[in-house]
Amino acid sequence: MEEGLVERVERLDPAAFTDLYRRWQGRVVPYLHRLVGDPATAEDLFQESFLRALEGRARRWTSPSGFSGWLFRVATRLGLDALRRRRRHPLGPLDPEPAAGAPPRDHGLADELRHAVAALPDSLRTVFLLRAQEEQTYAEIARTLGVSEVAVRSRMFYARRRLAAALEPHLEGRS
Amino acid sequence: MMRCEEALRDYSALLDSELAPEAVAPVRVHLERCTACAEEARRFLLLHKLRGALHSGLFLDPGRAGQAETAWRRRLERRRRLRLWVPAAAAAALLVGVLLALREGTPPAGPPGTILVLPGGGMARMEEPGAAEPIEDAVRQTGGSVRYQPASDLRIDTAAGALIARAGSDVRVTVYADEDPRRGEVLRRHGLDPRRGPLALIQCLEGSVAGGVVAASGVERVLRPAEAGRRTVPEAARAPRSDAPQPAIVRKPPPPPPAPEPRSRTGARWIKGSVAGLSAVDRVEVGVYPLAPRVGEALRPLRREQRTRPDGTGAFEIEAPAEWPRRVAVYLVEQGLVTDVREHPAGGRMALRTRSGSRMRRLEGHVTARETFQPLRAAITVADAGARLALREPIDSGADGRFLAMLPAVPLRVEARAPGFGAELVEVPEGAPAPDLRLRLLPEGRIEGRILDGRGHPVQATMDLRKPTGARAAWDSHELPATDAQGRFRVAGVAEGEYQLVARPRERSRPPMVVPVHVARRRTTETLVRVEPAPVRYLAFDSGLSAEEGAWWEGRLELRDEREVVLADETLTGRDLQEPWQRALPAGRYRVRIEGIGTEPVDEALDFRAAVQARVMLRPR
Repeated sequence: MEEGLVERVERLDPAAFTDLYRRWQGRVVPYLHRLVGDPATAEDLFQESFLRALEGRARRWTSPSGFSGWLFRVATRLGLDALRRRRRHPLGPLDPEPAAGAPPRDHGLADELRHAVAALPDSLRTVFLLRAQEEQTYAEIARTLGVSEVAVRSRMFYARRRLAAALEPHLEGRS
Repeated sequence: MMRCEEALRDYSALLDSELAPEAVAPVRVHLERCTACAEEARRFLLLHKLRGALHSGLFLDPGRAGQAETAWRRRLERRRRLRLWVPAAAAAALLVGVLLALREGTPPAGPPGTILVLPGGGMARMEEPGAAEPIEDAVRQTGGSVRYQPASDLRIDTAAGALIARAGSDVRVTVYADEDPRRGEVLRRHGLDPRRGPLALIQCLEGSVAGGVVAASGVERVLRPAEAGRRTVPEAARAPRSDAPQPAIVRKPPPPPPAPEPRSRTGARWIKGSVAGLSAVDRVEVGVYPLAPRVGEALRPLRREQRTRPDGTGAFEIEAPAEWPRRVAVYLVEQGLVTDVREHPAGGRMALRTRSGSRMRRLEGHVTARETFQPLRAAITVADAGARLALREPIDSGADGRFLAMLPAVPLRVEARAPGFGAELVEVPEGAPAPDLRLRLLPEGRIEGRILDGRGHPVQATMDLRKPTGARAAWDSHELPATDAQGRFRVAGVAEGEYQLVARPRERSRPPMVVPVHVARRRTTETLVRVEPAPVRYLAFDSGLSAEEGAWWEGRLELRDEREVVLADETLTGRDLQEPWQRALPAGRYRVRIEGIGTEPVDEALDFRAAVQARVMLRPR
């Protein structure tokens, strides 16, 4: 299904391009938003990632994770590059702005969680987001980030530990 | 027994379903015995349950797919051109090098050189540098970035739009194209607003300057200014000079595909385009306003508008606020008169052309009372006969009734209004010799009346007064103030004649009414409009739009009767398509026209003589 779409994209079929773009936009932009903390940058980065992923198709899509894995890999790399550039030229906190749209049910705690995630080191945040938000397996995350599964497992644990510590006052008394 | 950290690490993997089944039991045992770990595991579990909060209701920009597709096409085209061009560039560089060596024996250190940036790209050559400023500053202004070797001397001459490089230096210049996502990053880093300013289009120039020629290392060597044609190179700089090296590189890149409609982060849109045929730049303006036209008729401006002057080459960009409807019209003002107005094509650039060619005509005349020949002080409203937009302030005739104005040489509609007199309208064709217009006004008539339903209750309505115009048997429609709460209305300044009064009740259960009115001079015509009951008719929409397209759809519905009277003129949104449109209408034949964003125009006959329901199909464009 995806392969057929991609071939249509390569034949410059606009409908196929739009279809494929929107299909992945809904998954990758929220991930990049949490990663870089800015929806506009996330849209920009996704566009670039998507185009690069298409360009790299012939060489790299033979990997087990296919287009999905490659797209997340490119998006992650570009997202981290953007964060590094921004830290060199800080414009303000990296803290993400509150997301637009319907708030989650537990609004206060959800906001705290998002802030705490934004404060994680990059290496932990990428793993946590790919697992908790994208529901990728450890093996998929390892391929996306180019690290071992053991490292993914370890980073996930440390991410949880930091988040639990950051949210401790809010988690007290909850079950 | 397991160590605490090992147990928690395993528990974390267990939450992710990544723990081998045989490893689960030891973890449970540990957690049952270790209170501290059990407490931390409980927090892990709570966090795990909260992960749904990461799925924010982030708004995804549906327009980005189109932008991305445009960028994708450009990349493919660039790759294709590069494949063709690189061998040719290498051969040309080799040839130039050989020629120079033959001419001068050894590669010269050469004078400082200039790489010209021409509108639209095309040629690079070397010249003596003029007044220059550091390129770092100049490029910051345009939002790009510059990297160059410390030994090089690379400057930009903003007046000539030229880069100046010292011969023999190595240069690398990177400017980001408008659609390049890194551009915003660069701008923000320099503390600039990505939505504003002349934004440089940057392709990459990389190479070394030797003997007046950039020996590019396999990358683009033509720089294009921000918007094609925005910066001009003075004619003197374009003309080949006998003592300067000859043009080394000649390329003409294909015109870029139309850019997608740009939207800023706040949702505001940039309306971009160009004006051709300029010769009196300082007197031309471009404006944009939210579109509220009657379909097929002259576009009508709302009172909100934004204006700008095109730059020296005719390029313009105007910010349309986010709260405006998606349909907007762009108009061209020549000498204070609107001479072109068109709907902006969503996602495209607007190409306007001066209609007058900046030629002027003299409009002169005088206003008198028709019966007494007494001069009248009047307000003269002039509009282009085609565009029919009179955004210019009325011209005030003097006490002697005379007026004089210099206007673009286009067909004009001239209307004179004076207190106590009915309006007089004349058309002045294009190319006609400048006439001495005589506008003779008759004493005004007035219309007063009420709109009531069958039981004598007041009806609130909006109204138009239509009058026949000239020999074309067409009708000019003038919007009147709406009725008050008692259904009363009053109109002054109406010239003697026969009119049609169109009343459109606000309540959809009441039908629109059209009544003839005779207006006599110095009289007040009393009119009672009785709104007769009529069955409600339904117009259902079959839409081929996807849910997302439907959410963004916006259009305009116009319903006319057989006399071409507009009975309904409404804006619709995608939400309105979910339910049938409804309005009380007398039995008869009608015509519905719907123009919307992204859908084919609808122009269909409706037979409501017996039927109460009809359907129309909205087909995606």
